[in-house]
Amino acid sequence: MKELHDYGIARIFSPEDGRKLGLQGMINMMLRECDHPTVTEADFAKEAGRLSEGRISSVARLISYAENHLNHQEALAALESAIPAVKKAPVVGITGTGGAGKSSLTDELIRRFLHDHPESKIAVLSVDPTKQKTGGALLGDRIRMNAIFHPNVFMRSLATRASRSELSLAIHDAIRIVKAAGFDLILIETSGIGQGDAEITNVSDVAMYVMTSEFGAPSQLEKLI
Amino acid sequence: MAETEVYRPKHAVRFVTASSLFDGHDASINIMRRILQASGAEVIHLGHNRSAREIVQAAIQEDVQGIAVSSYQGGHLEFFKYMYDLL
Repeated sequence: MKELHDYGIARIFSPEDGRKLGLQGMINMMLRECDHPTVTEADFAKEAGRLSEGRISSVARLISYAENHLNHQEALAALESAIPAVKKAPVVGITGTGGAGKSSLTDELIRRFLHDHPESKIAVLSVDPTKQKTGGALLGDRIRMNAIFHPNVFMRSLATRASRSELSLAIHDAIRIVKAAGFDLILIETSGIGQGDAEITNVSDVAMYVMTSEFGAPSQLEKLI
Repeated sequence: MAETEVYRPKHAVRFVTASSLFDGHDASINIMRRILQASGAEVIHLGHNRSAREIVQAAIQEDVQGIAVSSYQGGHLEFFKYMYDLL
């Protein structure tokens, strides 16, 4: 353990630590250590400048920046002016109830698309709900994807946080950011029932509703996006 | 002394969690990530049998503050060092 700590690993927990700190204690220690933003206002200009190079870490940090500054009008304005609305990359929205097969479908689409167009770059933005009581979230779409390990694919999971919809409030900024970074195709995945206020239709050029084969009334299908 | 008070982070904290390569033991990481979620963190869980490269790639793309890996299958010295080098 000492060897790893000396190497730079933040912390290896042993059974002894478990006994001494307790489960919540260990988690608290981890959270304390990580309780800082990954990108500050100071870094912003640097990261925005690197965007056209297509640097993945810059894309990731700028999306975090957008997520964390949703209430700061100046920061959002700076983001908007720094990131030009470019490229006409199509945005495909994929929605459907939990367990319907959205992530699996997205994964397969990516695999086949890359097979046919190996030079293209694909960005996936996946949204999962925040548990309002705790503020935490399980962003569980990434675990389902196998095709994303390809160097041309960028995937980012977002939590809905304070938005009252199935999308994150930062989704528009996130789409601008990935478009400016030069991605050719953007996929947005979120859970939803596809009826009524399906916000996914506002952000995507084409929207898809994924469902399982069992359902009740066929007339329900007419209400879909 | 064991803490039972939940630490509520001031910033949005994101974590990548996984079990290391060739390791199918994920009971511990599932418990830890659930407590992380209940304490207010956003967790990107990668599941079991994840290589250092996959974990690091996810960590960079997801822009997380922390990576939590459970390793029961041995080889942790090399695995953790390898992850550290890749970052």
